[in-house]
Amino acid sequence: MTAVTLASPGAAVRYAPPIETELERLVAALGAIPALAERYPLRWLAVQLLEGDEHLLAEAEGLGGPAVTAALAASRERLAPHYGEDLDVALVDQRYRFVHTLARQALTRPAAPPLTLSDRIDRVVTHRWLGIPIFLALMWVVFKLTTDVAAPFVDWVDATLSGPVSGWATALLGAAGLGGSWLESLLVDGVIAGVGGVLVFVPVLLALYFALALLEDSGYMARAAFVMDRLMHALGLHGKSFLPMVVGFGCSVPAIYATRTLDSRRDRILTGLLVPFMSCSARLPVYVLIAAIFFPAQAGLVIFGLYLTGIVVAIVIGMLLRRTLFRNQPPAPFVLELPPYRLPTPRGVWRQMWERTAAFLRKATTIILATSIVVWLLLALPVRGGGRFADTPVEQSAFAALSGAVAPVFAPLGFGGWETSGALLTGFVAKEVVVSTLGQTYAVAELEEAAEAAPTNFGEDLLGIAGGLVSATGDALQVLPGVIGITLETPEEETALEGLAAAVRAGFEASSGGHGALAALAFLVFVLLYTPCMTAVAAARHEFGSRWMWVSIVGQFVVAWLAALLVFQGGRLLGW
Amino acid sequence: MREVTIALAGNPNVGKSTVFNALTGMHQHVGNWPGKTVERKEGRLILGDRQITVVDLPGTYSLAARSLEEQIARDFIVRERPDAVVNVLDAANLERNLYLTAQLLEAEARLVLALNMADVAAARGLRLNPEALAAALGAPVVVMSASKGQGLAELKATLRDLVTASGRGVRPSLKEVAQ
Amino acid sequence: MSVSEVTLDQLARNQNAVVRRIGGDREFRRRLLAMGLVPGEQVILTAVAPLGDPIEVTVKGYRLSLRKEEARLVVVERA
Ligand SMILES: Nc1nc2c(ncn2[C@@H]2O[C@H](COP(=O)(O)OP(=O)(O)OP(=O)(O)O)[C@@H](O)[C@H]2O)c(=O)[nH]1
Ligand SMILES: [Mg+2]
Repeated sequence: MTAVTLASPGAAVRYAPPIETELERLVAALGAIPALAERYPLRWLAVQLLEGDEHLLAEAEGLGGPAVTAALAASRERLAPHYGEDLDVALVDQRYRFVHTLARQALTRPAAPPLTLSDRIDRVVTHRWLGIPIFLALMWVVFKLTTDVAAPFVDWVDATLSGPVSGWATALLGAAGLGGSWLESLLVDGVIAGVGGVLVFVPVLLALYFALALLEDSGYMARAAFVMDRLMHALGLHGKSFLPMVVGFGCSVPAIYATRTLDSRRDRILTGLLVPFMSCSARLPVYVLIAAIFFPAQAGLVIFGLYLTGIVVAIVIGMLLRRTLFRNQPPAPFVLELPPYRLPTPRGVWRQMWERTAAFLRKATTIILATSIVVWLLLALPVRGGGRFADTPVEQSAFAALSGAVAPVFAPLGFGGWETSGALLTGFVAKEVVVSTLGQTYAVAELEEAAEAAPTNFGEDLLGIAGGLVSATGDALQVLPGVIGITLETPEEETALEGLAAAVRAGFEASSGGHGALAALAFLVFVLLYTPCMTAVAAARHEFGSRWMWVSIVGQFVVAWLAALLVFQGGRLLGW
Repeated sequence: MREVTIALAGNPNVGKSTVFNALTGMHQHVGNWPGKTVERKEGRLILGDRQITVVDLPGTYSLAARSLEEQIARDFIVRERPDAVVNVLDAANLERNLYLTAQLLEAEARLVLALNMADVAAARGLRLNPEALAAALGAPVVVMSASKGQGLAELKATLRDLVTASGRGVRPSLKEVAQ
Repeated sequence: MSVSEVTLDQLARNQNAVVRRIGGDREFRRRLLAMGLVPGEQVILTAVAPLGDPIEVTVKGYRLSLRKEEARLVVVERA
């Protein structure tokens, strides 16, 4: 139904006579300044200035100079006897009166407003006792969605790229007579690996954005903030900061993107800076390996302690940041509408999932691909020995040289060997590769089963990919009941290879002057706290801009270094 | 042919993006506002012989900008001066929603009111009188339930009238207004 | 402050009141005013968060939540 009218436009708010008089005067004064007249609707500007919009006043003074200040002060003065300090209240009040009249004309209310379904849902969801359990249960579901449910698809993407796709690339280059060349290595180990590093996040992000779209469109997100704000506000954050933190235990990348749900930029950035301290799941294999080597009896305790350390560090750093970088930015007031519950539409949800994931692909691909290629190049360049380009042992590559060059930085922390600093370097790209890098640098048998698979043809490959997707879906579906049923299955970790264990132990003992276990603990703390991965860096740049990206990288490095120093040197002092 | 720009403005969570998606379909482009890290959603809509750029503005309760998003919405409306502003409102929460409308009128925006969430309003027993609202405001009013696709055709028809009617697609220049 | 005047955070659940004044800095006041908390307006405290803060009020037919520290700046008169 459309109602069109030809009545003259400009049915605007009329204020009380004294205000209208001043508005006229102000409009005349402001209109005399061309820079302002060209830029703003003048009556609107006059109203905003009278209402006390300081931002706009600064802009107007910048364009119009002292004439603006003088005219405004004069008008204010003349209005003071009428309204005193409450001119802003009077303006809003009169505007709302106008609105009230409009609404009365446009709407007839029922005598007794029915208790809506939305009201009834709210009684449960924000209930004194049930509110928090319901909230925690939903957070658990989100966490599981972004981890376990997404995991089979992540594996499938990974397997497809490192299997058939790499195979095709190799075959194509082979057919072109470039088999075994550096080009093949660049394509497979640099480009495809880099693209893979981006693509494996797609299932995770789709899962995250699915959850976020449901929570936001349904109206629950505002309730979640309502329920959690007390706790988060005590930490200087906002009720809505809780969700990114939870997601952060799965992966920092979706967690950084999840800060979008926060309304104020200060809260978004502050939360985004703290989220990486939540121990993401990619760090777990490193903990498991090192803890199994050095603390076999208390591995569980050590790992739990690391998770806890991450939370404590986030709290402490949060307090520090509020007193330093964010000193002049008080927390945004919590003035939040709790919209009625709505049923999200599948189309709307899908659109958000797709749009936001596509934005990630556009923004993150370049930086990640570039990093991947740089790492490949470092590994390919021989600097010692007789290796050829793209065919050189790790310890003779530029990578080893670089690792050796930065190693002294880690010497005070007890792990100044080039092998560990090499692992930390690749860990900057992705934590998933720390363990395999340790395997390479300590020159033990390849940790990854470099399975020389039986040659397959294109058709078989396609079948395999499709089959993989089907079984990934099956796996994800199998996880779903667990999501609802809250079962915490402990991941069965493969026992570390004997040879690697011995080499790592010897390496840490040597670099720490005989305090291997302490150095290992410091190493774990460092892994927990420094940059989670290149993708998280790209996400931070995407969301907060380059400046904050650097704050994040440097800040995390400093925090990690200091904390590891505290562990190692503190431990030494205590005589461990 | 002059480029015509229409902005979608309204309180948070009233269905602006739903209307935006329905208007522009697949012809969308997501970028960032210049120098800002806030998403800028822009789409294309063909009405008659006009190609229209539709901009989905961040939700805002008033034109007194506090957050970055609100500032973007305000600056776009008062500075970029789109040819028309589709003010999307939650019909079930009309009074608070109309507060922004009052400010948009003050900012001399050429308004089209989309009374969205008509289904919710009906479920609450609210009876809407769009003619009275249109008469009072001197602006077209369309009743719609965007998530159900209701009222879209009317909104498009209204926009087409607005941009194709001779001389009405072009708003008076600011100089004229100032005089 | 007259006898029946209290601040918004002191209302009991489901208690009605009328807004009288809003304190705090200008920016904050403008924000609440824009959200419909204008002097003379009816408010009802409809809910309190499980941890005791923030609170939820109904004003102009919709639900708005505020922290108690912010609600303390709103003076209301019990109905
Ligand atoms: N019942 C009903 N729901 C609607 C209608 N229009 C939109 N919705 C739903 O309202 C929710 C919010 O819609 P959006 O289009 O995201 O609102 P928005 O104004 O863009 O929100 P922000 O961008 O956050 O300010 C979604 O769950 C929509 O499906 C409608 O007419 N009726
Ligand atoms: Mg939107």
